[in-house]
Amino acid sequence: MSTAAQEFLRAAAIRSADLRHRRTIRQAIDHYDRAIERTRSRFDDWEAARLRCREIKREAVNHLDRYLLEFEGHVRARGGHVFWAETSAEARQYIADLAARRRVLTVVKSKSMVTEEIGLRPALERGGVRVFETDLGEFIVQLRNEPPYHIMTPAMHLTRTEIADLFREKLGGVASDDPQELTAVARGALRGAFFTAEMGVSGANFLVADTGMIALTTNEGNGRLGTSLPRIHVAVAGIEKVIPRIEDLAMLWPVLALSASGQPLACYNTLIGGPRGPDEPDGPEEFHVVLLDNGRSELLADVEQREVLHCIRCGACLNACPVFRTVGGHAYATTYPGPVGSVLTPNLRGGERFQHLPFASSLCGACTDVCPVKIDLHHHLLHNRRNIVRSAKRPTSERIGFKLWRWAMMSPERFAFLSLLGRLALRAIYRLGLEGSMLDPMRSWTKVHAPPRIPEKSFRTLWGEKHGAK
Amino acid sequence: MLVYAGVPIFAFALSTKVIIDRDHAFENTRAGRVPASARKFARPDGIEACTRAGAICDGPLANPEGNRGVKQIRSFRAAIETASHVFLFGWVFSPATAMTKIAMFIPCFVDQLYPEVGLDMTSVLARIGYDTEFPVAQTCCGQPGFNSGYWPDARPLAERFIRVFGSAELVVCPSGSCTTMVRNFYPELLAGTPLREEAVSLGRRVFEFSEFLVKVARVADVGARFPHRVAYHDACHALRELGLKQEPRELLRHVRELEFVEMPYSEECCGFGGTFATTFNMISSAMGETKSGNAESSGAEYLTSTDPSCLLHIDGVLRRQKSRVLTIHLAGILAQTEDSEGRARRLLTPGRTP
Amino acid sequence: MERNSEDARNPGRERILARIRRALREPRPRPSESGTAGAIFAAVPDVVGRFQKECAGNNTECVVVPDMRRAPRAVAQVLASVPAGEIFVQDAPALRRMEPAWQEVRNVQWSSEGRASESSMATITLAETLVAQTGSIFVSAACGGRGASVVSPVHIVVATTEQLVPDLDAAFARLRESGAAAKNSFLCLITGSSRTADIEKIIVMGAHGPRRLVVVLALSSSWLPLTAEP
Repeated sequence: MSTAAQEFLRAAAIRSADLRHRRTIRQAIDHYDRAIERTRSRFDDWEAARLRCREIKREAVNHLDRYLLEFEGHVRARGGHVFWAETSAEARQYIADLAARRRVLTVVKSKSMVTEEIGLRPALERGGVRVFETDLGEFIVQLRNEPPYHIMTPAMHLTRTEIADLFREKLGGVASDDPQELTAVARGALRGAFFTAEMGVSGANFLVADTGMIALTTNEGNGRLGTSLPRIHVAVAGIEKVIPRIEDLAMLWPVLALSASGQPLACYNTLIGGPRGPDEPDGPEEFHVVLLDNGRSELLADVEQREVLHCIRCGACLNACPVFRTVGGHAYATTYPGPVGSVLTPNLRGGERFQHLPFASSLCGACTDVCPVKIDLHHHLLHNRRNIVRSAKRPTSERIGFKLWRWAMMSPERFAFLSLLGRLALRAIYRLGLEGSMLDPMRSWTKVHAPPRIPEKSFRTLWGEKHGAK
Repeated sequence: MLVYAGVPIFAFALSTKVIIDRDHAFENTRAGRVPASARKFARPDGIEACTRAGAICDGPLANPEGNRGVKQIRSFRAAIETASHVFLFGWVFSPATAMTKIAMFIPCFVDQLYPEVGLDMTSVLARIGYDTEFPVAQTCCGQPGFNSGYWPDARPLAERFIRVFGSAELVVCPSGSCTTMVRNFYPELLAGTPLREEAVSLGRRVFEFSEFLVKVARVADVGARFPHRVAYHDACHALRELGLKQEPRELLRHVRELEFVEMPYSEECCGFGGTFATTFNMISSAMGETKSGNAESSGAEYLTSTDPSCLLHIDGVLRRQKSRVLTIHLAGILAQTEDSEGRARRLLTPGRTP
Repeated sequence: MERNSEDARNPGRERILARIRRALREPRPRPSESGTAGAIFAAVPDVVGRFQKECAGNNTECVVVPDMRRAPRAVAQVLASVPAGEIFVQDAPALRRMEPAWQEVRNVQWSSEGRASESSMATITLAETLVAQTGSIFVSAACGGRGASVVSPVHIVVATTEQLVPDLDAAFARLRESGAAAKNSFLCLITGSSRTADIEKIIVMGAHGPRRLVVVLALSSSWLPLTAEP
């Protein structure tokens, strides 16, 4: 087992036993679920909306080169710059170089998972740039010096009391733990940064090919300030974010808002194409889009899992996932946690490091049920497992175990005989109260379960006794 | 739904013959030609002892008179016809033919750990007029290997399963998960092999137990009595892969003296997940605790489900926590009969209570 | 020329495109279920009523006035509750004509004089189009710039029902028609006032954007045609 897998097990075990964590998350997701239920009734046909969204993304992803070039052409025509980054390092380097060239001292960031993926903040900070996370949740986790817990709700794991304590310690002047006041405190702390920063960095929810605009969805308005006030705006986006037409947003915006936060629409759905126009009163002088590949084109080549690139990063599958709710977002140690993360990460980051993730699922399928673009998530976990076994990355003991299992199951006599032996042994062990000991072959089960009652006779024996003559 | 595909025309052509057969078959039942299994097992007492998950019992809890009220003999062909009638003309009536045996698909761990679930299923099926057989050559459907990524090791078991059950007209299984393996995953596992088509066709003939009762046999009331408060846990595969949500509830609502309560978060996974339960036992048991906590808060005395694997897991957690909630497989509840009044009733409209 | 030099500095571009093309050589089979023809959202028959209802639900104040002549007084009433200080106004003829409503009590900065300042207490702008189904307002860079609708604590939008369309599809059709996407470097669909649910998923109003969003909606545009450009 790799070190990363052991780390995961350790972190997951700690969180799993943390009842307070479980309550906090349950409460937050109950809020979310109720909002979803209220808002989903606004759709006459939610299923048709999902199909439409999948169709839009399918069209885009399956003609990715064409739409990316169309997007690039329009951005350049509007006076913007497009940089294609093959890896995280290239993307980081491009932005860090730009910041250095333009003598940027302060950067305001709006929430973007892809900038987490490329590790942008530490790279900029190494160059002496002050980086402010301006989304409230991101701001909170930045103060705590930890990664986002959830792709939509970065501070989901914290209660208002914990946040109030944090603000009191780092910012001072916090009287209550009322979310209203805490929000005002964060607003006050960030206000100055927006007006002094030279560079704003955002992600993009969609890249609109036919107009050369990026679509940015935010509720707080931080993304709008950060892309309006500084003189440089850099948007980072995965290549899979492109969509064919601006009209597609009429479906994608409400679906994203519902799945992400149970709202009919987010507060601000912004479209930005290029720097400030000649007649416009404000806006940045420079506009850069960084298109990131970082393993996505490899995933594109896998026809079976290509549709994973349809993901719009709404976080619905995280909320629906009982494993996520139990182990929490940090245990995954990935940019994208939860079901979609367990599908994506082993593909995007290759190697052996994240091969345990597809196995850390009960395959319940709740993620697939809620995915607004109908990605067959839990079946992709199965495909990942098959691919990992195929590439010989599983422990030898497990491989031998399954060979033996197959051998035993290929004959009813062997199966009956071996399981009889097993039952006799387990009955003896449990009768002696040795469950969980080294003698107990089921100890990984009995460590957390009361031992099962082992029947004396199997079904086939009982059946044979009643119908022996036949 | 799959089962209805492609057969209505054939079935319709047969129906004239079938209608003539029906009365004959009905006579057979009255004359006592019912499955031996339904007559032999009798145990009116001891439900507690038997259902504290995994406890061994001598037989299912069918009433010896349990088959008395059976009014109809049905077969798969009849069921398909019924469906085709519903499909084509709305509900007309259900023709029936001579008895067709149901091949019971008893998952390997049910065979070894929950034999009473298989016996209970047999007795319920007998009570509503189906004869059952147990193809002894069956072992495991291959799901553990398939789910763990060992497809080359699971494939021969799938092929073996198709050989064992290939000639069966109708297969019924007391586990939604194992049914899913055959119906939903065999075609993928056997893609590109000569057996794929056979897998697809077999998948249309394999049913989860509650699915079979409500959708194929069209019986909601199997004449059971179970004077307890019961909550239902939606097993993931039954719910999301097979689309079974109302079927088990329909059956429970028709059990006499049973008080059905919805548990909170009934659709949330219990955390079993096959090898996940041992590889990631801390996560699995924490999920199990959440589930058992919800079962407790529902006020139910019994937690039931369509999947013995979920119950094995939840029961292990409940007993470890010394909970008073007991687990019982749906077949275990349906096998408990009423007195001589017990009758099997037919649903009048698809999916609705009469 | 510039394009070529930019591409030359970005060798990854060709490599990524080549990988994408190679990957797409094998087509993905179409999924079996395709989109249904039925409506995803119900039709919106009463656009004004629906817009008002949605505004009530998303924390937008909607003030309906019979025609544009009544709009200045409605704007003045809103401003009366705004603390003293400068206001930022989109430089458009329709809003220039409203100047008497506030010139005595407020120091005004027009969008033609520069960007909205940090200290402005309210901004007044027009809109591109309004969406009834969601109670939303489409603004563009022409509506006083990017910052106008976000920097100050109060945003007042003056609009007429002629700008009101039933749903998002119709809104995008309008934008397509007017060429707004090509003419502006910025468009924004605003739905309600700034909010966050980052603490315990509880919705809190007034994050970085305006805490108050007011739409003064005139049932008739008689007075002056409403256009963003002078």
